Amino acid sequence: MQQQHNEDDVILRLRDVKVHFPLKGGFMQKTTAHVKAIDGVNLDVYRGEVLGLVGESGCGKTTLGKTILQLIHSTNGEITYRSTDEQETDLTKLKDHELFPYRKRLQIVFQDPHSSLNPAFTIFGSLEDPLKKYGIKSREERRKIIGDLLEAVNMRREYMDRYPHEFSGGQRQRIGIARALSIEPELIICDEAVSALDVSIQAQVLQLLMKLKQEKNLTYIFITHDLSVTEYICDRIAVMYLGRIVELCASEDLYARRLHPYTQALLSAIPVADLDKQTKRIVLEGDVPSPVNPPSGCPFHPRCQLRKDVCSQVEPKLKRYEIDGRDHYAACHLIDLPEAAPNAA
Amino acid sequence: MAQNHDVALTVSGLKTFMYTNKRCNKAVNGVSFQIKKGKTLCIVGESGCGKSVTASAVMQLLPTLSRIEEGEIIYHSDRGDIRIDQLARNGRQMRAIRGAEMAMIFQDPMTALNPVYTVGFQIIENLKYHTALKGRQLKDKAIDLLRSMGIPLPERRVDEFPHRYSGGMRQRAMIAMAMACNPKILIADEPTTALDVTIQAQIFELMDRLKKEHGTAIMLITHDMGAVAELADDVAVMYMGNIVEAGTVDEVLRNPVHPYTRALLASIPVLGRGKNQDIHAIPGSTPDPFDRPSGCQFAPRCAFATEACNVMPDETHVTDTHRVMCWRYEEFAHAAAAQ
Repeated sequence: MQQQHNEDDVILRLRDVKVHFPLKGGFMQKTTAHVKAIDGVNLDVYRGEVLGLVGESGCGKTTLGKTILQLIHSTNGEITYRSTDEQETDLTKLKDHELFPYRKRLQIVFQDPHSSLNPAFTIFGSLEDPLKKYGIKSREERRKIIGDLLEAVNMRREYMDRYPHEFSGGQRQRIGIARALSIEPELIICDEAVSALDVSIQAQVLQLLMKLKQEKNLTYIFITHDLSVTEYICDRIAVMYLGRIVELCASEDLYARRLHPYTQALLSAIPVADLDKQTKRIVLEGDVPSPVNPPSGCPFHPRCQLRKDVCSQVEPKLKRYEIDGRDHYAACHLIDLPEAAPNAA
Repeated sequence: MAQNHDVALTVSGLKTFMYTNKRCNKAVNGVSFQIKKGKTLCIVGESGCGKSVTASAVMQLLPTLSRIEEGEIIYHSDRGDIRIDQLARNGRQMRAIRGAEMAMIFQDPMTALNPVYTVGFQIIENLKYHTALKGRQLKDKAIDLLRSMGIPLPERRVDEFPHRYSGGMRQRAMIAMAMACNPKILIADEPTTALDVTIQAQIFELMDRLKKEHGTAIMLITHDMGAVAELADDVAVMYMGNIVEAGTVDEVLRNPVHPYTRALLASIPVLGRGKNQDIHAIPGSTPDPFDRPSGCQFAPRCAFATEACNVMPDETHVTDTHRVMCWRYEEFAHAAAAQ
């Protein structure tokens, strides 16, 4: 069981992060509207945990991952990185060249193993670049490090002189993981890292990720739409809807004690591979609304079966509840639980 | 095989080979199954196991450099049995059946709809060839179909192009097109793989309704064991061109006897079981289709392989409906019974 987290364990703190992409059109390419991809996210990531980000396509989970790495610049808010010696840095304030030392600590594994490796480079060629950049001058040493990395992801050393097309999807995804590991990061964002793989291969990659986490004391942010995978590997899960976090809790609580109606519908929609556990599907009507004109009040209210008048008028805040001594955050007007007192810190 | 009138399609001993660069890929290597009226048969397997090729063979939509080598595909129509495999691919008879009595939903609605025609035009095209409807009736029918699929404002949507539809709506438009002539057999090739779970739930609900209201026989191709548990009446598990295990959904999911089915079920996390579930990955990866193992295709990855597995096992029946291709299945059947 997981304990309450300590303020000192925070590796990443997000405060009111917003990412709005301008939509241009008409005469002189004026900005006519904004796509509110991320609209006010507050999140703490603790050192050594696996945090799952789940939601439907278009809910902003990938954008949030890329914003954390500053591959996409946020329009508002703070993203604070806290190093082991308790130095705090707001990544959004840094210029590109100043970000350089932080790029080493935060890495990403991409979704599509077929397009994230350059087909014209050997595996060694693809993997040596970050090492060169971070100061390993001798080619011999680079070859040794890459060989060790490939062995760490259960592949043979000799594979480093082959080209990406010689590998299967699962192998390429493992090369992607090896690349993210090459400069010894502290936090890895796995953006749908296993979604493109067959189920039998998916289990291999998941087990590899968990093994590496133990060995290297890594923190993962695991972005996926597959809740069964999330529940299996994550410590905490954040459910996103239309650029906002609607529920955040320990993974063991998500299934048994979900509070938000969206989470309930999402979980009931997932077909369960267990004949004894068939539940009644809650079928949501319609599609996810457009992030250009999000609905007023609670973003989920047009599809919610429990909606009341207040839902279309006031936007619910993400409130903290305490269930069995564990934090459980949810943003819904209809939760009938006492709100927990704010943290002493 | 007992001949009865609640069977919609019988496939027996189907072999489909594909030819590329003077090499032959035995994509489907002896597959037999039946689809019953008003029931769903789920075919599960990993990519490259031949499930989509089986579907294309049934619809006579195979690519040019491939052919049905052996076996029978019999469509039990109201006018008597028709040997689909003996019809010319684009002959008059096949064209009369395809789209009208047998229809298919493709995996990717983004590429299966033609971007330069309106959705309405593409639905009407089907109705024009297969029904006696004319002029305004055609359009009204298309609007009706879109409405029954739950697409809002069908009167306006019918004249819109596919790019203005969202992924879920495109897939529903595809189903509308497939259901236009109330087919007897609906083949759905991973219809929800590209969609979100909430949209997937809508599509599943729709397919359930079609099955109940029209008695459509559905062949659902998927790799999601969850979808199987929810929708299937019968299941066939494919691996490298063979159906390794088949039976009713209860038999296959509760009492799997083929090591591959057991390994597959053990390798997926199940929602609601929490963090402490045991997940066992299947070692290795699927073999190269041009360099297959000589005997049982699963033997190199199987924890129970023996000498005997170098020879292809025959299909054996565990019960009347439950069949398996494995030399050692009896041991697993006993182990499962003992539990």
